[in-house]
Amino acid sequence: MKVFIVGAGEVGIHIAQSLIREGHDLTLIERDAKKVSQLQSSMDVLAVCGDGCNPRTLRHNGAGDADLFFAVSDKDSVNLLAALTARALGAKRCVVRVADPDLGRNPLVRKDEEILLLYPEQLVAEEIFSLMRVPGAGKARFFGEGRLVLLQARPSIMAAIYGKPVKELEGPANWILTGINRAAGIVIPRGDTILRPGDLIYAVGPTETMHEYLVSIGIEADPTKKVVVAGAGQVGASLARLLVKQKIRVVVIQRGSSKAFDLAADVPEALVLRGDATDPEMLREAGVEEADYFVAATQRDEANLLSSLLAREMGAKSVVGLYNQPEFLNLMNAVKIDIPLSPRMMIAGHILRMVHRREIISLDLVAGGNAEVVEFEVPAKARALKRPLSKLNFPRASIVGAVMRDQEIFVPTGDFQFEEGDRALVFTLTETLPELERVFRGR
Amino acid sequence: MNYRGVLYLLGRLLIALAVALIAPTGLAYGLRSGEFLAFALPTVLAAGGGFALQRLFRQPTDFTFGRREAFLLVTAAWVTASCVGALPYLLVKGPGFIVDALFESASGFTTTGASVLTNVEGETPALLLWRSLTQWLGGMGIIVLGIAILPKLAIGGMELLGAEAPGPMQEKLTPRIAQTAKALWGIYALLTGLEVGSLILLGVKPLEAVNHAFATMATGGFSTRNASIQGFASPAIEMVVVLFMLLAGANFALHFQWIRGRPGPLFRDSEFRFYIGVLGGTTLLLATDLILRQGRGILDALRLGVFQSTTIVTTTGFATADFDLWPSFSRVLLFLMMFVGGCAGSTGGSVKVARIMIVAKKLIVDLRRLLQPHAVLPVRIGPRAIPDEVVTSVTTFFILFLTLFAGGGLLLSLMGLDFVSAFSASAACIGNIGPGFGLVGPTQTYAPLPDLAKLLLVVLMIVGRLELYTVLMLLFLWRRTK
Repeated sequence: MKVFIVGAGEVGIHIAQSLIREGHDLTLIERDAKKVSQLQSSMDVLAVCGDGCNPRTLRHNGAGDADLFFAVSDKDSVNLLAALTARALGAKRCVVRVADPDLGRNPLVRKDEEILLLYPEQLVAEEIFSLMRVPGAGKARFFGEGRLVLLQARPSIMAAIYGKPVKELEGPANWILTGINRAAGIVIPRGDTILRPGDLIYAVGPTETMHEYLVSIGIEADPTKKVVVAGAGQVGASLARLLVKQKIRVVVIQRGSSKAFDLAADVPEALVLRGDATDPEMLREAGVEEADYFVAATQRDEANLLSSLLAREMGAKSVVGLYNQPEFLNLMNAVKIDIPLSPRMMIAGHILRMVHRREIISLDLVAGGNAEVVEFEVPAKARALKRPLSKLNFPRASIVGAVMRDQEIFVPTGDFQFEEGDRALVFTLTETLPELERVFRGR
Repeated sequence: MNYRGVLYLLGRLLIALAVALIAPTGLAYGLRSGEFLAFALPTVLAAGGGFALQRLFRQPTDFTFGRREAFLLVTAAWVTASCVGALPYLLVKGPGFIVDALFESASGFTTTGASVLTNVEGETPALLLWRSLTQWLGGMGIIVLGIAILPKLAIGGMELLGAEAPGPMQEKLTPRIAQTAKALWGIYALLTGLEVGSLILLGVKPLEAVNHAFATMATGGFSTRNASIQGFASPAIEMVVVLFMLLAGANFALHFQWIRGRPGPLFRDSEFRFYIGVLGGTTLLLATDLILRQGRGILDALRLGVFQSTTIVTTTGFATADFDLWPSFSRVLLFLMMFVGGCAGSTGGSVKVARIMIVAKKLIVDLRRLLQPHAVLPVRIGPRAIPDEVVTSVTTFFILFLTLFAGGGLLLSLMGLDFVSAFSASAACIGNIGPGFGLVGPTQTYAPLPDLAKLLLVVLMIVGRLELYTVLMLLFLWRRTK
């Protein structure tokens, strides 16, 4: 495959590294001449010094023939323009990194199905958020800007859910059981399926009632009440925004005054402190000793390592440490930071998923690859639009967990009728995926 | 410094004043009331002076006009208008009236409404029309100053005050000052017309209706009755005046919106809501005090309360009662309300509602900071966080306002005024309200004050009207150019 990358920042280089390993043919465009010469000598790529938006530079270096075009510099407007230009020149598919969701709503970009948007900082924040949201046993993955959640959990053996058909189970509204993982394999439940102790379940529902759902299956861990975040960069700020929406108390520590003010202005529910997160005095003022989570998300790995250590010593229940340089993983493990995370790895993971499939916006998590959760956007003229769900010949090994239409969330019943632009969250056995794709493909 | 440019624009102002003077001149001529010359002469003088200045200091159409020139022009405009506006009084009343004439004129153009005329009902219709007209013109100047000019000069946080209100500028309909001004003047004239109509419907004589509408929309407060609005003894007229005072004290950019069919911004605007809250709260407190201490009936007390609170908070200065005879609590409350003033972008004077909000929130924020010394706590007005520099400049403005008020009171006491009169006169003039307490109470006039005191109050009126800094800046300007 011919791959074109605009912007040789951390994300760009990481994508390049992963793709080179898969044997693709790479061209990198970067403005900074010093970086270009460095790349030229250290990696097997064609590195070009130039402006990623300049049509002449793009054409000259063959962006028009690219199978994949990544616009991942740290400037949203540059990325969007580069991608649009590349598409006009003939690039087959573009992945655009955008930090500001508003810019991502550009109508030109939305119209073009071959331009995929990527919000790296938002993704990392959501990943951290999902870790905090599911206390104890479970795992969670969020969809539809965090409004929908797919939950993986093992119900308590004490829960009053066994022996009854699934359709008679009680719980919060709009939750649907989409899969059961048993020793025998994955089962897609029907109304009369009966749960057994020891089952690992997958369920889809609205994020705001996740806690109630967990309670209904007998999982009652303390929900997260307070989080201290070091660093009000994109990741820290997005995380703070996600947390305050769930009424979780958030304290953010940020060194510079302008970023601190911006966050305080933007998220009034969060308490923003101006100071150095590696200063024990500062952590005490933030009340780190009563925090359920401490997240070290500053730009500097050293600061993250040090503040994570301090926070743990001072009594934070769990500590999440972000790092960029791979060597820090070992260090963080050596000092027993609970959850070391590399934003770059996460982003690369997302991108690689985007490379291999389209339409399927996110899939992950489920049971060793036997089953998948797929988010479909229903295109114009799809088969799914023709008749109600019960008459669609929907594959038996698939189940629609929820449908998002604008701001609304539906749990579809038999007479549900899809509309163009609906986003359906479908839980399916992997072998059924091609059949499912036919239902949701535009013609 | 482009003095020639400033003089050129002052020439335009003079021509505008001449045009305005035609109205009372015509009225005097029509009524054959004998003081025709007292208006005709200033009209000719202003027109002649205006054309001379325009001719002498002709500017290229794209002449440059910087911050310094703007500061100088604004102050010079109000001083010039006050002087020219004093001429008719002087010519009607004779040379002994010179300080009083200046006082009355400045009180008009700054929309203050403090008067030295002891028997208004004895004055001629032409003079009374001119008197109200000065207020109305002053109001026009203030609207443009507040919405189009001061925000550009970033005085006392003005660049952000009222910025929450979606003004005509954000509409992109009228991006330039001249067009913005015209749009807002249109609304100003429309509301004035509505009030004239309402008053005539309620039986007020047309000329008096015009007089009062002019004085109301400018939040001026000159009346043609000795007993002010009380002279009409009509609850309906009082309520109409209350309504239009309330509108005049609100941001004209918001009026622009609802008149064009979008009432949303008006009710969402946090300054407007706070303003209504202040008016409502003051009304209730006054009414309660009047019921408990003076044994008035509920309706009577509410009627007096709502009028007096609106007239003081909006800095209009009409009266329907001698509130100087009210219980102590009511008087102190009204005195404190003198410092609130109208909303940003209104014709109201004094500190302005938005500034009061910012100062109050700053206090709360600073208290919280004692607990968490490193917390970043932005001051919020509605959903917007106000940048620290703006908060500082608003706080400084507030302190400066109080300092000038206190200094004015001190100097007035030096000139022989008693404690209450000195401080209430100072507050009533720097806040552009009009009536105060004691010697300058609502049924009194400023006539008995010594000349020096009147001149000092003229300075306070102009300084207060032009947001303090505009005038004070000139001291620095002068020093630097020297």
